Amino acid sequence: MRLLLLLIFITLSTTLSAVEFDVYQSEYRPLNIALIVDSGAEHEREKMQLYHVVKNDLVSSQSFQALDPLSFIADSASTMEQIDYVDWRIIGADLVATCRLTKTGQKWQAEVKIHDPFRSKLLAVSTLSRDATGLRVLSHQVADFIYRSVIGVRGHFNSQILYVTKKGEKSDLIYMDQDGANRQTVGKNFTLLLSPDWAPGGRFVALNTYVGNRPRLETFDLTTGERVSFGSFKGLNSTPEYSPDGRYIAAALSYTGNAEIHLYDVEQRTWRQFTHHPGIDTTPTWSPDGKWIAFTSNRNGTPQIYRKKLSGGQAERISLEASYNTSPVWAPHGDRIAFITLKNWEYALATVHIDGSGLRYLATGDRIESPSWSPNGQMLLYSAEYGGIRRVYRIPAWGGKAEPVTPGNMDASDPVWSR
Amino acid sequence: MNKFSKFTIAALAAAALLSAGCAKKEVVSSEAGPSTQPVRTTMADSSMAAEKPSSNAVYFAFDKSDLDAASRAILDANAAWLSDNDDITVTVEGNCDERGSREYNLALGQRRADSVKDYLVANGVDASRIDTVSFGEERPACKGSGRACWAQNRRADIVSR
Repeated sequence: MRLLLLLIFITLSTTLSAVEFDVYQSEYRPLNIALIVDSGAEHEREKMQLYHVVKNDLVSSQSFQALDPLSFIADSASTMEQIDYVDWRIIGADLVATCRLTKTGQKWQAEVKIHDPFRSKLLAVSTLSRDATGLRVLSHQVADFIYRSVIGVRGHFNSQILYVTKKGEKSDLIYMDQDGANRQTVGKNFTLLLSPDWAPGGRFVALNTYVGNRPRLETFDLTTGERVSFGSFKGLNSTPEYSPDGRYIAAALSYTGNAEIHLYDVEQRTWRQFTHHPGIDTTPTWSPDGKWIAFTSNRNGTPQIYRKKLSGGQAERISLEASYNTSPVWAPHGDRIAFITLKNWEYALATVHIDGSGLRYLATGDRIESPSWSPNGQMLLYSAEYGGIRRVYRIPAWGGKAEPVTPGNMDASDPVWSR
Repeated sequence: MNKFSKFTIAALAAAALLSAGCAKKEVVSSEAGPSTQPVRTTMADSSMAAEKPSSNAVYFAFDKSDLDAASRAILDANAAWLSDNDDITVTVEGNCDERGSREYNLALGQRRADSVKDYLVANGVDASRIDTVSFGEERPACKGSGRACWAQNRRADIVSR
């Protein structure tokens, strides 16, 4: 009992002392889930594939912990027919998810049921289907359904990730599913490739590259590989960021004499200046409603995060602590901004409310950079360097453990999650 | 600025001075050509002609783009030389160390290049002869970590085309 009180005290003091450099850890405990997949004998291989994809998805979110099937008391087949909740309470299963995989004609079908043994309750039922080539997508749909039914937020398991790998002087653009499957090089031999941003719809990427030692902004068509320059002014052409509706691209240009945020109208192909200040203004990010842009500015001497209304007005400062705050990225729910901050001579990934309150440090690391939100706002990607290798990592936005999502033998940076 | 980085810059400056003799010869030979011959003779005879500067790099403090006295001295020499050689155009390349955000560093490198350009223009060099570019932290002169390396990488180079 004394130990328990001590633990509670430690937990409380950790959450309260935000001024100390504590890495935020949510008190959330992963839910124990028993996952049962059944199919006819002729689909044994596909059954195992679906099981592993669903299990990996749920565990990777750090909201779930998969129970070992060897610990199951009840038989899978009979649980499919008639669940006995007691058998699952005994082994500590917070949830039991059953999935019956069948193939009718050219279609895969997954019948999913989610049970709460401790409340002896069937939580949700759904039948999902995909064509014969879509078993992986179907598996992610099953994971999405379980995630949404239990957590109350849509899953991000059918999303994709782009990142950059640098080999000597050249950089390639890499595409993969969020779980690392289908990894492939989609753009080759860029002379520097910085700040890629994925357009809504997923076909185009806006990026900053160099041609003949001159920086420029390009759109890259993922379906054709076509590169089209849309910004090659004198000086800086950097940090492109699509508006939520895809109509505009905000970027930092310096042809006016110093770095300012400008807006490019994708349809009209025209630019207009958005910020007007002699300090550096860069790395724009849009609020999800498209009404605000947050950005980094050193207008008060050090780089800090500000936000300004699209309709005009004064820039309001968001970051209140630390002498170095950069790379803001607005969360899809709009409530928080992720950014890179300097604390105690160490760079860290952190999030903060729009009014500057509720600062949470999530991770530290050498050259920690480029945060990017998952489409449901539950996870963040970033790049960091350990032992001389830059990799992309994933961490829950509510705290938790950082896990690499790119191989250990390959440079990886500038991750961007599909919207 | 700490002692170590000061020492590094001093060492670099000394190395640059030692190699200055060679650099001067290269300039003369590269200018050899019938059309430039008379001009070259006039310049060589004039006691007012500026020498090719011993250094074309200036260094900055962390997250800063302002020029210290040492930088201004180097830029004075470069401005004088450029004024005497008005056929030469240059690009000022701004760079940063690896600390902080790469995207912010891109803007900071541009600001460093711009502050060098502004100084040269204020000292009589035509703005149309000076181009600027920032490589942020993407092209470090010193590939590695640590204060000595970082000090070398926070720089702007004046490169003639």
